[in-house]
Order: sequence, then C-alpha cells, then structure tokens
Amino acid sequence: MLKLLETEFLKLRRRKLVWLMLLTALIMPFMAFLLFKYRGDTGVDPIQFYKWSAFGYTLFIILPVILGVFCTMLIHEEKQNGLLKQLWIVPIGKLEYFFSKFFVVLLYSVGFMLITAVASVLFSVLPGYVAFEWESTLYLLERCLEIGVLTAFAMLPILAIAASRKGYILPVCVTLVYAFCGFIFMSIYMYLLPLTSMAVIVMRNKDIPGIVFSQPINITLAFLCILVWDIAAVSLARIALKEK
Amino acid sequence: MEINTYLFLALAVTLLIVVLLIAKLRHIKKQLALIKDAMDDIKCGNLNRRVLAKESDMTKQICYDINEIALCNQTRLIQHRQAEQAYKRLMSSLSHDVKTPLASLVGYLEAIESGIVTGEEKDEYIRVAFDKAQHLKYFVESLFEWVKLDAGEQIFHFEQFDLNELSRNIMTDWILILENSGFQYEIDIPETEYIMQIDPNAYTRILNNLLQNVITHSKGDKVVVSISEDEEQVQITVKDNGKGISSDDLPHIFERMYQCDHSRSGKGNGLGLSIAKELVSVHKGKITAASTPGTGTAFTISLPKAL
Amino acid sequence: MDDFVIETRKLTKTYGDQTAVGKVDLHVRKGRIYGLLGRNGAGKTTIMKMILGLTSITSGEVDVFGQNIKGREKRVYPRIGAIIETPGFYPNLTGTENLEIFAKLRGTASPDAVKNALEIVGLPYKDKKLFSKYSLGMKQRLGIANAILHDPELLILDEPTNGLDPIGIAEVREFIKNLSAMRGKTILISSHILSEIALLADDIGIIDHGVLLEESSMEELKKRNSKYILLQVSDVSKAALILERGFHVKDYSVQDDQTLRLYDTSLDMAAVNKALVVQDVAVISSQLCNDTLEDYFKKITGGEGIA
Repeated sequence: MLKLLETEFLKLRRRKLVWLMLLTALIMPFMAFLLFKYRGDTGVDPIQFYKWSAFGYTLFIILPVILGVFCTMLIHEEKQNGLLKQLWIVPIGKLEYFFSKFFVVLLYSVGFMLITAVASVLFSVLPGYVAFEWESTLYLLERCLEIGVLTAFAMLPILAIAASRKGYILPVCVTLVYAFCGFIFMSIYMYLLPLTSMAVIVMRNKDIPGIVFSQPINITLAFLCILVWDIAAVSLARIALKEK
Repeated sequence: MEINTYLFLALAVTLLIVVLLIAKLRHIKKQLALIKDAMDDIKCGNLNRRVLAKESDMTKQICYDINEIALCNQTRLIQHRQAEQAYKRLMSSLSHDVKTPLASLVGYLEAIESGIVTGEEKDEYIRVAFDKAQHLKYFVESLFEWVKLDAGEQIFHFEQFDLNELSRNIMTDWILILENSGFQYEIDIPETEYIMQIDPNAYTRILNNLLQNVITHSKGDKVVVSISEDEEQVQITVKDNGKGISSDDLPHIFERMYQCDHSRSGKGNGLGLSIAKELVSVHKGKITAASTPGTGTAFTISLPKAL
Repeated sequence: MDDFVIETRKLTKTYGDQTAVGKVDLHVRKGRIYGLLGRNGAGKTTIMKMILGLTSITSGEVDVFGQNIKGREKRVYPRIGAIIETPGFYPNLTGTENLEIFAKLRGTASPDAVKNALEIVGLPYKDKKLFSKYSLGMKQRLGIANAILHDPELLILDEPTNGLDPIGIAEVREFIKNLSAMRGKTILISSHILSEIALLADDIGIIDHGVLLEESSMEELKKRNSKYILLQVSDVSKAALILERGFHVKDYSVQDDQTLRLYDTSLDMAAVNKALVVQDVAVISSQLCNDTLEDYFKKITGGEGIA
C-alpha cells in the first residue's frame, strides 16, 4: 500500500496543472486582503479576516470544486491511457487502487488548506490589518487541517463516480452541482450532504461570526452523514471496478 | 498529571511501534512463504520461476540470489538441450545426405553392370558415378573431421609460423583452381612477417574451406583475399562479389548442416563453414561474416597475435 | 499438472446474444511459442483478456500454470508478463520512469531489471524523452519491456509488432524468438499476419469468428504444406538414374528405400511415371504436395484467407 502511494506521487511528476491548481488556494486570502484594504481598517479581529480568507468561499466552493476536478484527473488519466489493464495484472487490488487515490486526494486537500492558512496569515499580518498572535494563528491552522481532512472525505462520492464512469464530464458536472447543493442544503437540512455536515463539524462552536445556523448543531449526526455517504461511495467504486 | 500525560504518550508510541513491527513481521512471513513456493517450484525443475522482490524488502538479496542461481542453471540446461537437438537434426539430415548420392550412384553402377549402356554412354556413366563417389567420399571425410573436432579429439601442433608466407603458399595452390572456375582474384598480403603460433594444417583448412565456399556458393566472379594487422590481432578477409547471403540466413551459416539453399540440391554439404569456425576458435580467434544480398559477402577471421 | 502452461476448456464469451468467443480449447505448451492467428475482430484479444481475467468469462474454464487464476491473482500474475492491445503509459513521464513505477509496484527479479529490459527491446536507459513524445514503435517496445521487466515465465503478447516498421518487426521477432530459445519462456502471441506467425510460432491456433478452427504444431503444418512431389517406387536407385538421365532432375532427395522427394513440382509427372514403368520400375504412388500455408489457411477459413 505504501509502495502504491509512493508511485501515485511519482505519477504526478511534471503535471503542471495539478500544481497550478494549488495556487487557487491564494484567491480567497488575496480577496480578503483587497476587501480590507478597500475598507481601510486596521486592528481587525483576526477571526473576521480568516472568515473571509479561509472559511468562506474556500470551504464551500473553491476547495470542493478543485478537489472534484483533481479526483477526475487522477482517475481519468489512467483510464484514458489504457493503464488500468496494466495495473490490474501487476496485480493491484481494486480497493487498494481506490484508497491509494483517496490518500492522494486527502494529502492534496490538506496541502491546499495549509497554503490557505499560511497565505491568510501573511496577507493579514504583513499589511498590518491584524497583529500577529499565536493563539489565533494556531486556531486557524487547526481549523484548516480539519477542513482539509473532512473535505477529502466529503469528496469521496465524487471519486467513486469518477472511478465508475468512462468520461470526465459527468464527475465534473456532479462536482459543480454538489458544491451548489451545499449552499441550498445549508438552510434546508444540513445533515443530508457530507459537504454541509463537514461545515457543521468545522463550525461546531459557533465561533465564526456572521454564519447563522438554522438548525441545532449535532456533531454525531454530521459524522454519521459523512460515514454513510462514504460507505456508499466505496461500495459503488468496488462494484464498478470489479466489473471491468 | 504531567507524568501521567507523558506515560500515556509513551504507551501510545510503544503501541504504535508494536503494531508496526507486527505488520512488518507479517510482511516478511508472506515474503518467506512466496520464496518457499518458488523454491519448491524450482526444485521440481521449473527453472524459469523467479522470486520478485521490492527495493525495500529485507529478503531482497536472497531473492536476487535465488533468481541468479535459477537463471544460471537454466542457461546451462538450455545449452545442453540445444546441443542435443542439433545432434539429432544432424543425424536425420545426414541420413538423407548420404542416401541420396548413394542411391543414384548405385543406379548408375547397376546400369553399367547390367549392360544397358555401352560405348561412349558407358564411359559417361562411369565418369558421373566416379564424381558421385568422390563427392560422397569428400562428404564423409568432412563429416569425420567435423565430428572429431566437435568431440575435441583432433590434436593440433602449434608452431611459430609466418602467417603471410603460409597464406601466400596456400594461395599459390588456389590460383589455378580459381582461374579454372572463372574467378578473378586479388591477393593483398603484406611483405612483412607476422610470426604467430599456428597449426599450419588447420590454417590451410580454414582458408581452403572459405575459398571453396566462395567457388561453390557465391555465384560471383571475383574474390579478394587480404591480410592486415592491428596491435592485438591479425585479420584475414575473404571477400567475393557474389549473390550474398540474406539476413535471415546470415546468423546460421556457421551452424553445421545449415544450407541457405533449402532444397539441398546437392552441391556442398553444409559442413565447410562449420569446420572453419571450429578451427578458428581453436586458434582462439573469431570468424564473422558480413553480407549485402546482391553485392557480395566478406568473411573475416581475426586471430590474436599472442596465443 | 500436464505440460500445458495455459489450458482453456470450452471458453466462451457472449455479449447479449452475440458470441465473441465460442468454446475455445487452447493448449499452450511449456517453453513454446504459441501463435494465435486470426483476422482483426476474430476474438484473439478477448481470449487473451479472459485468460488474464481482465474480462469476465461467460462459460468455460481457464487454467494458467495448472490452476484457476481466480482468487490466486497475487501468486499467478507475477509469473506472467502481458501486453493487451496498445499498452498505455504515463505520458508525463519518461520511459525509464514509467518502468520504474511498474518495477516498484511489482518487484523485480534482479537489481538492474529496468536497465536490462530496456536494453533487450533497444530503448535507451535514463533517456530524457517523455512518453508522450514517443513514436508508435517506441511505445510498443516500451510495452514489451514492461512485459518482460520481471522476467516472467509466461508472456502473453497481443499483436506486439503493431505499428512497427519492417526493421523493427524483424528485431522484435528476433528477440521474442530468443526469449523462447535462450530463456525457455512460454509465449502466447497473437497476430493477423500469417507470415509473422509462420516465422515465429512453434504451435499455431487459427481462430475465425470466435471459433478455434485448427490447433497444431508448425512442424506438422509445414510438413503438410511444402511444395514437392512424393514418389514411391520399387527401386530408388533405378528411379534416381532415370530421373537424372531422362529428366535432368538434380533437386531431389531419397527418404528411404522406397521414397523419393522431388522438389521441382513443374515436372511432367505423366512422362516420369511412364518412363519409370517402361524401365521396369514399379510406381507405387506419386503424389503432388502443392499446398502453401496460405492456401491451407484459405481452405480452413472457408475461402476468405487471412490477411
């Protein structure tokens, strides 16, 4: 399994798009920087800034979409080049294959959020909007890691769809719809989609200002939701890969 | 409180290490099972079996060594089997090669004996029969020579000779034959002395076989014999301008009984080049052939100066 | 465990009510090259995929190394090397990097496996050229390199010479032959080109519309299909004389006391028979063997021929 993971990273060598996509992590910190510059505030509450730079659109739109595209790329590439046949006769277990892809997505997601965290601190401290303090920085770091790990799990269904389908159009479309649904279900019922459940877990202490929950916080239910979806995703991938 | 935390941490770390070690142990156990499997297979004679090892495996070196041993044994076995097969092929083609001229020889002699033919025709029959008998004799002689060589029974007498003078002497005998067979010749042997350890009979045989080969098979009209040297070896080249040898046949021409002309229409016996090769290797030299179909063939013998 | 490395029994694959492969009994013997010959779309790739477990089997059984492959993948796959259809690789990596990935995943039989494999197929080691810049021929070579990377006992090659130029085809043919002759590998190879199979295979299976029409050794086929006249007479010596004198036949061989083989098939056999009978030689049988392999395959496949 470790070998498989090692080779997964070898396979990403010289794929510029993959690394360029990581740069999108800078978008929201930069936007936040522009916003606060426009307002001309100084001495802002760091959490206010981080809400914009790390917990806002990054959480709901950018990271899920980027991860969705990344999942599709990972799987589609090998399929298109007829590599799967060669891998199966190595042999590599179908689930082993699926999980190795997932780990790559997980690490990518965590990496993405770390960049976001570092960029947020830089964009807030350097221009002087926020005074640097360990407490809020560590808080940001911890939350970013949480987001990174949980989003990867929340994206498992997309990975499964990518693995079970031939083309790349469907999984990408589903990703977009999925991210969009996140917004809607946030106000309808949060515990239906992993994406919203993930948001619930991240904001469990209601310590991020400006976000109002319409329903009571229930962490267990949120975890349960993610778990159920992931089990369904793994079973789907298993069935789909076995068929080939 | 502080101590408890540390204790807990230590415990967690220990547990982790234990789990890792158990996983490692299981992995090695699996590897050993695989190795045993392969060993059993190899023991049963499947020398093609390999044990695969990854870069990080502890058993890596053992696996590689097992593979090497199996490979070595296999190579030897295959060589042995090939020699055996070649011998069988030799025997079966031999029976045809002797039977065919023998049958027709008997046919001619019968005709003469029973008096069917008379006068001039009879003389003609006797001449043909004699040719056939000669051919057969020559074939059987070469065959014996080859078998002797192959079995390593031939005894060689290496002496200090001037290769150039020896070659010149051989060529003198050939000039008439070449002219009679309609060949132009060009002989380029240096005036200097190349003193080497040679068995003169064997060397003569090599050159004779190569030239005979040119006359019988090349269908050309010019032959060039040249000798040159560099620091380590002397090169003798016999080149013709005949029809050449196709690249399909080229790798096989030194094999015994191999004939490019697959219909075995009689000329030659498929032993000449094979004998030449054996004799060259006795001199620790090498013989190679290069050919372009349509423009000719060049045989090159390289003999080391210090035997 | 018989000497079969691959054995299929009534192997069948249907898509809906269409039969892609019907009741195929394939027998690949150890250490031999088995050529699967058939037109494009005849079912060759499907058979190979079923043998490898890459596609489901509708009915029938496949044994590889005497056992069913299902559930034993981890043990059986490392002993097989295969290319199915056009082999795919990572376009963003060089050839060496691609092979290193597979070497890491599968493990190798020796420390410098990647280098050796590339050497065998004639690709440079540690070259900077990315796979996406490779020509079709180079891609095919890399595919073969990957198939032999772990020195497997059994090679399954689906149209390995696809996309190669004539020189490349000859090279690939040469080293496939070598793998079998020098390394004792068992090879299952498919092609739609008759001449290629004829040059390479020891055994041959002819498949058409998913049905195995014929399975036999190449030797057997060649024996049945070369061009000659088989003449059985009471006295070979006399017959040889008559042929030589009366018909100027030189291209013949004596098989045994009663049988002659004449390689010139344009001979007027009626006249030969008459001459023989007139001169007191009884002709037991005279038979023209004039089938070429092409004719033979045409016959088997019902007139359409192959390639």
